[in-house]
Amino acid sequence: MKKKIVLIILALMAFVMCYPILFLMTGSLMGKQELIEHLKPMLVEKPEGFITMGLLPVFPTLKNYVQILMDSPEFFVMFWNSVKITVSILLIQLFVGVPAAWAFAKYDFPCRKLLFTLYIILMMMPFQVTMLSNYLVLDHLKLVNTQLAVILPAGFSTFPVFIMYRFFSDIPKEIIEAAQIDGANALQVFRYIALPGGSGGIISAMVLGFLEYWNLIEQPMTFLTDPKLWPLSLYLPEISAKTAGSAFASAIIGLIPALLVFLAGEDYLEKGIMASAVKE
Amino acid sequence: MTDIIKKVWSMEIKKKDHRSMREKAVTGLAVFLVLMFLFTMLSRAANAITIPRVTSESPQKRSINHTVSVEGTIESQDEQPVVTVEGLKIGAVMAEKGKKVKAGELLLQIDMEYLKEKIKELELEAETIDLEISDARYNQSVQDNNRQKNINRAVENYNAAVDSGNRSVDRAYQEMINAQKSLEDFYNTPQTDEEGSDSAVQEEQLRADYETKKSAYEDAVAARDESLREKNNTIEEAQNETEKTSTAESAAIKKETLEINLEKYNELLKQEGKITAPADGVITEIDETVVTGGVTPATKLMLLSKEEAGFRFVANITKDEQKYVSLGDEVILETKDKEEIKGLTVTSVTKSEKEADTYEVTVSLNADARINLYDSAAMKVSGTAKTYSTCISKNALRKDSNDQDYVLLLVEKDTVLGKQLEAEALNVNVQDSNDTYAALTNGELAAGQKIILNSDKEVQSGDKVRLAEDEE
Repeated sequence: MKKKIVLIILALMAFVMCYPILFLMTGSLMGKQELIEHLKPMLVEKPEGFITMGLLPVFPTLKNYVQILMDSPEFFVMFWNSVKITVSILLIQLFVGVPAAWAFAKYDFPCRKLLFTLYIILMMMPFQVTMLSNYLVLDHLKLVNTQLAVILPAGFSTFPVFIMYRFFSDIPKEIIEAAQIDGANALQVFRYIALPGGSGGIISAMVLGFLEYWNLIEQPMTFLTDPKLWPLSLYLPEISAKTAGSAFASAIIGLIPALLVFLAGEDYLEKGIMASAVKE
Repeated sequence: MTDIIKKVWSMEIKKKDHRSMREKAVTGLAVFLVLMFLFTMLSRAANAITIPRVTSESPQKRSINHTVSVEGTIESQDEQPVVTVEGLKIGAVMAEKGKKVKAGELLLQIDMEYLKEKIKELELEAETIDLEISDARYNQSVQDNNRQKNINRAVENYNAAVDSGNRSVDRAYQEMINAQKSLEDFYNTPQTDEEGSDSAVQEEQLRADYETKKSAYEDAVAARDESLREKNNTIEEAQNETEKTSTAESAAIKKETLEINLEKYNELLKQEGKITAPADGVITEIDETVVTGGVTPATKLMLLSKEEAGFRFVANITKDEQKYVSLGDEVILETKDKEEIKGLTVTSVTKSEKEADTYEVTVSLNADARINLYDSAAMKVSGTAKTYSTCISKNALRKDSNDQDYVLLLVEKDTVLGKQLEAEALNVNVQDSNDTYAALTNGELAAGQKIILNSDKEVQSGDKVRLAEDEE
C-alpha cells in the first residue's frame, strides 16, 4: 500500500516534470487559430486570464512542421550553427580538457593543488559573474560577434576537466606503474591506460557538455549580435500569433538531438553527475 | 588490484544490456542529422523558388525623346467626283471600288434609248417653254400700255387741278388785298368828332371784311394743296400699278436650265452614253444607287482618287501625343510590308471632328511612293529631346492606389541567411517621360542606387528578392 502511494506520488511528479514536453508537442500539432485561442493572454497587449493548453489538439496538423522543415531556411542556419558551436566546443574539450584532467589526476607538479582549486572556483562561477571579463577579453581579441566568442570560453571550460579528473583519479596507480615497467612512455600510458580507463568520464563529460552547449542562450545573446551566427536556442526569440506554431515545432525538433544524445550516453551521464557531486 | 580494475571497468557493466539502445540512439542521431541536411537543402530550394527574381537598373543621365508611334491609313491626296446628269437610266456599270483606272476608261454606260427619249422630252419641253415665254411677253406689253395711259391721265388731271387751284387762290388773294386796302384807306382818312361813332362802326365792318377775305384766301390755298396732293397720289398709284409678272423670266430661266441639261444630254449622246474616267486613279467610292438598271443620282456617281496627286497618311493621335507632334516634324513611315519611308514631314495637325480630345495628323506622300491606297501604315514622329540627370526605365515606375508614382529600391539587408536583397518603396516625382524612360526630380535617387526593373512575381515593399542576373 505504502509502495503504491509512493508510486502514485512519483507518477504525478513525473507527469508534472514531463508536462512541458507534452505541452510543446500538443502546441506543435495545433493550427494557428487554435493556438491563438490558447495563447491569447500572451499575444494581446492587455492580457486577461492565463494561457491554457489542452492535452490533445482539436484539429491536429503537421503544418507547423512543414513550415519549419520546408519553408524556414533560417531555422536550418541556426540549427547548423548550434551543431557547429556544440561540436567545436566538445572537440576543444576533448583535445584540451582530457589531457588537462589526466595531468591533474596523475601528475605531481608545482602548484597543482592551487591550480585545481582555481579550476573549481572558476567552475562554481556562474556565467553572469564572468560575463563582463569574458566580454572585455573577447573584445580585445576582436572575437566579439564571431562564433569563437562562444566556442573558446566554453571549449576551455573547467567543468569537464573536473568530471574527467574524478574518473582518471579512480584509475589505479599500479596499472600505470605496470605499464611503465613494461616500457610504456607517458603518451602510451595516456593512450592505452588513461583513455580506455577514463572513457566513461570522457563520454559523460561530452554528454553533459552537449546538453549544456546545445541549449546555450546567455553567451550567444551576449557575444553575438549578428542573427546569422545565432544558435537554434535563439530561433524565434519573440513569439507572435504568426510564429507561435513554428516556435513549438522548432522547439520539438531542437529537442530531438538532445534526447538522442541523452539516450546514447544515459549511463555515463548518471556516473558523470555522480562524479561531479563528489567533493574533492 | 584485480578488484580495482574490475571496479573501473564496472562502469560499463550495463553496456551489454543497453548497447542496443545506445546504438539506436547514435544511429537515430546520425539519421536525424542526415535528414536535417536534406531538409536544409529542400528549404533553401523552396526559398529560392518562392523569392521573386528581379532585374535591376540604376538611374542614368539620359535624353528623353518623345517618339509618337501611331497607326493610320493611306488616303488619296485628291479625290475627284465623277458626275453626270441626274435621272438617267444606267445601262451597265464597269467601275469597281478599289479598281485602278486609266484616263478615258469606261466607267459607266447610260441606257441610250432612255437618253434619246429624255432628249426628245426635253426638246418638247423647251418648245412649250418658248410658247409660254411669248405669251407672257405679249401680256406684259398690254399691261405696260394700260399703265402708261393711266399715268398720262393722272398727270393731266394733276395739271388741271393745278390751274384751277391757282385761279381760286389768285382770286381770293385779290379780294383779300382789296379789303386790306379799304381798311388802310379808312385809317389814313382824318375823322371829325361828329363822325366818331359812325367811323368806329365802319372800322369794325372793314376789319371784319378783311378777316373774312383773309380766311377765304387761306382756305383757297389749302384746298389747292389738298387737291394737288390727291392728284399726285393718283399719278404715283398709276406708276406703281405695274403688275409684277415673272412668268416670262421664270420660264426663261427654266428654259436656260433645260438647255443646259439638254446640252449635257446631247454631249452624252455624242459620247454614245459613255461615262469615262477623267484621270488616272483608283475608284475609291461608288454611290449605292449606281447599279445596272438604276438611275443616275443628283450627286456624284463615284469618287476617283487621282494617281498623280499623290497620297497622304492620316492618323489620329491623343491630346497628350499632340504635344510632341508639330507641323514640319520629321516622320518615318513604316508600311505594312515593314518598309520604312523616310524624309517625310507632318503636313497638318488638326482637331478631329469625329472624336473629342483627338487630333488628326496628315503626312503628304509623293505619287511615286511605294504604297497602296488604303494600306495601313505606322508613323513615328520624334520631337526635340531634352536631357535629364535622373532617368529610369518606365517599367521600373509603379503607381500606388493613390496614383502616386514610386520605385522599388534594392536594399541589402543582413538576415539570418546572410546578406539578402529586399524591395523598399520610394515615392518619386516624374518630371517628364516617354514610352521607354521617365525622368525623376533631381535628388530623389542617387546615381548608383539600384531599383527593381522587372520581376517574375509581383513584388511589394518589404519583399525579399534576388537578382536574376546573379544566377546567369
